[in-house]
Amino acid sequence: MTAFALRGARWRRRAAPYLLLSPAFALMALLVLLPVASAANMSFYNYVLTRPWAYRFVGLDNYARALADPIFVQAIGVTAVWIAGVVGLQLAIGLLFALVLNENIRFRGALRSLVLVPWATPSVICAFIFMWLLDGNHGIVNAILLGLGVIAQPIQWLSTPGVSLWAAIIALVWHGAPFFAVMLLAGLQTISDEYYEAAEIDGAGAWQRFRYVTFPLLLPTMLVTVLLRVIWTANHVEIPLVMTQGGPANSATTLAILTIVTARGRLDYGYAASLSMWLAALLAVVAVAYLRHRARRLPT
Amino acid sequence: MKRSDRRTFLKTASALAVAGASQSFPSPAIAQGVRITMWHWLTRPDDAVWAGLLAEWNRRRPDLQVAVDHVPLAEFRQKALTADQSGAPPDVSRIHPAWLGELDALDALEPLDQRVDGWTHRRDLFDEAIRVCRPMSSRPMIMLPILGQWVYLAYYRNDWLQEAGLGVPGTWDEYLVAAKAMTRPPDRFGFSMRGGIQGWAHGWVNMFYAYGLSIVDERGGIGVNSAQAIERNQWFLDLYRVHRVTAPSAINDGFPQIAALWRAGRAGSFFHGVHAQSSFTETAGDRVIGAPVPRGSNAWTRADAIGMSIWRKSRNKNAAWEFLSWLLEPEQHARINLNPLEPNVPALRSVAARADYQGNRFMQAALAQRESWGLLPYWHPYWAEMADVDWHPLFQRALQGQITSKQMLDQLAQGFERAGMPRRR
Amino acid sequence: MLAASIRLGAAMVLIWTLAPFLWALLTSFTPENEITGEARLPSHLSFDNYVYAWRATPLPLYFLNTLIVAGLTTALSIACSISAAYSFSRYRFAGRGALILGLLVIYLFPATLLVIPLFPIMRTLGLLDSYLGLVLAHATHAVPFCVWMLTGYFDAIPRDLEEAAELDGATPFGAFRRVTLPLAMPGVAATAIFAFLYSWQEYLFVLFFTTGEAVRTLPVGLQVFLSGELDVRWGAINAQSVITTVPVVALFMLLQRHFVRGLTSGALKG
Repeated sequence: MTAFALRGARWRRRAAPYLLLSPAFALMALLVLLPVASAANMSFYNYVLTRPWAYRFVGLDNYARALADPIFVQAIGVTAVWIAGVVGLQLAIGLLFALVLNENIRFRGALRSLVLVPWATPSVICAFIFMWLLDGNHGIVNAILLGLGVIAQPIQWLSTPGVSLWAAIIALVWHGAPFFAVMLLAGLQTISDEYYEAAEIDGAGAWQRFRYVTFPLLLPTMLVTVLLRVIWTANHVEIPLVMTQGGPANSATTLAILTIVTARGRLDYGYAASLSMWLAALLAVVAVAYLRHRARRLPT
Repeated sequence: MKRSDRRTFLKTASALAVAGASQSFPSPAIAQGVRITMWHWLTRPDDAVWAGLLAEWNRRRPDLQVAVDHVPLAEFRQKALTADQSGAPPDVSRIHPAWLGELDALDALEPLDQRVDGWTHRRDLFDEAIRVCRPMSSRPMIMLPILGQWVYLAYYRNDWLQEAGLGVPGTWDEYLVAAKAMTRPPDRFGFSMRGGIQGWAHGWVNMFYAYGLSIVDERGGIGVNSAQAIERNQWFLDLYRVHRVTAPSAINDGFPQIAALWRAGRAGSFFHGVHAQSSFTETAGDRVIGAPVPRGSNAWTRADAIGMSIWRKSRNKNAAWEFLSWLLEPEQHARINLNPLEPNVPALRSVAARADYQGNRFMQAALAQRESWGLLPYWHPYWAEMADVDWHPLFQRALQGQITSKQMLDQLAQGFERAGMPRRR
Repeated sequence: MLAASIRLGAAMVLIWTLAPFLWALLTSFTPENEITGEARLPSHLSFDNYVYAWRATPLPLYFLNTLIVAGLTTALSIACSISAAYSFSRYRFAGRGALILGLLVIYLFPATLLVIPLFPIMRTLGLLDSYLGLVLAHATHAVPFCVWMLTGYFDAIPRDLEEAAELDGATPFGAFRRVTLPLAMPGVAATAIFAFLYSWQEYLFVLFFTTGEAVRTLPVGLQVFLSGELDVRWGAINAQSVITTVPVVALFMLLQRHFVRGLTSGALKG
């Protein structure tokens, strides 16, 4: 462990940061970079597991095939709605949670733990819980809405195009909002009381304190959390897959689901690899946009 | 171990098993212990029969241990093929008939004709049970009918039919009348249509073949989008679109939703194998009957089989055969196929003759239609992909009216055409 | 007025968070034949679903596996991340910016992309169906996030303290271990909880890299057993969700104070 004890020679001091980074990066080189390179390579081949005899180099054919595939084009739109819905709602709910949990309320400790219940529930289980809550024939949500007279007919949450995606969004929002809550709570607690005191002296009300103190100071935390969540959400498959199978009629098929279905059902690994490269490329655009925005603050 | 030793052993073992002296199972002369891997998927999580059989085998055969891995059916095909192509498939596994074509083309499974021909109980096997283990009648047997045969039935709420003054529908036209009569939304739905993944299996394909339509024939002729097929498909879509005899959730329902409808006593009819009977009788009990699937221009009953196979890359094929053939022996076969949670039509005559089978009304209904038993074109390389990936989104779009019956079937036809005929090595 | 809206907010937080879970709890105690029934509430509380779930699933094994995998993942990713985060926080060196960016890039690649090519790699290394394989896969995915978090915590601790220790004759490593690390401990604990939770409920890698029950963790194990082809028992599924969730929540109840304090000591600021 102390093999790289940093005493003495200057070159050692220079090597130290790299040595310290090496375990993390070695791990990632083996388990991310190597498979990514392998997947990139795969995406240039006609690689269908059920047809090894047809295996051959096809250049960019798989990428072009995606562009000509109406389901791929549809999936980009679905992915955008999916990400916007999940991350937007998680941010809103997480912010509400964080603001409440930051106040000096009774049972704050217990509340802070209870908020984490959904996060501690494995996502597959979340999918089953929400499938059951939203079941079109026997679900409690429909029963309550019918009982309150909000709706006249049961809503077919999982069988209506456009709605089933939102059913999955709600499930993932429930599952993931606590992450936002704790990240934003942490951000809130680093805001010094002095700002609020100053604002109060200036006669700022609750909303103004939020608008002019909390929000701007919390913004950096929000942005980075949003970025991480966008990536994470884009790659998430199990909740929408278990709840909707990407349907009906592919209306809930995100790019990540399309990739999984292509790999699992068509066993077309070449095409699946190109689909996931597309997804990574689209996410890279988001990441670059974020980095540009934060360029001045980026540690260098 | 020399082959001749094994033959002797096999004969002795089988003979003893037949004689019912299975307690004194002999220990074979395998010097070193062999361990084989079996991949299995669970249809019923709390099933005790398979666990019991495996425990028994492993107790008797310390020299030939079987380790079971449970792989979910939805992941099974990908996992098995990936493992096979990386050189390490299981020794034996369950096999779904829809995969037979592609597994045959890949040469992934061990041909079993020779071993079966030399097997003690060869004569006890029904011809149909052997036929379902071949991708095509001209191809080798690559599966063993250990789980018997999966004969399809039409399940009805007989009390609802009687209430409406109707008998059991004999034809698809009568079926429509019955489905309409049984429908009383929002409490009762005449047909628990499965619009979600794998929905083709429950009514749609049965109706196709009952009208003598072929999806794709053995010479490669594609019939799935013939004029008559388009018309029949429209008829089936109209059960949802026009006649509304299905639950409003039907469009994306999978089996969990359908089982819940039956459990709640809200479903009037469904098409499924004889093995699924307890899913329908749990609530309604005797009020549920199993009848032949309605006739179109002819009677046709889907009767295929989930079986078990030896993977060609297994290094313990003889041991694998020993184990699998033991499972197929009458005693074990009866236990597997008499499993109240998942009973099947036995592959052995001697087992089918048992009183237990004759007493099960669903089994009787299945056996009574033996002349109409038929198989689907599982040999086609596109079949598994069609069944897993393409059918349900197209069907769902047609149910919503986004595409026509013809457009749906044309797309399926394109899939069959693109994949082409199976490649023979 | 403000107090009232905070209380209203707290109520909303509680309802949104707990209502689905409470419904699952209630369903788990409802006899199976009443679950789809007209009456929404069970006629009596039944433990059948728990018995069924317990009998149908090697639950203790899954729990043990999940604890082992999540525990080792946490240890490995925290060890690698402390080292890397310390490097990013305390040194200025060529390629630093690029490597920080590299972490983000690595985070971009979806698990759906990685699992297929990883399979042969795992197989070659003999890591299929092994704790180590799952731990490595999970740790790799947890590390970028942990490094970010920890870099923030280390940045928040003034260098002067370490320098003072070094003047007293401590090696840089010793100074780090005796001065900075203890101060950053709450942050390390919070980060560890993130890593633990990620591994606790990760699904895709476990699905791909296990075929047997030997090392399979809860999320995949439950799905394999509870979605039988012919049978989905909502009561048992809900019982399973209760069984899986309650221990983690109990753990949080115990650690909650450290967790939140840890989080606040170096919030992620991008």
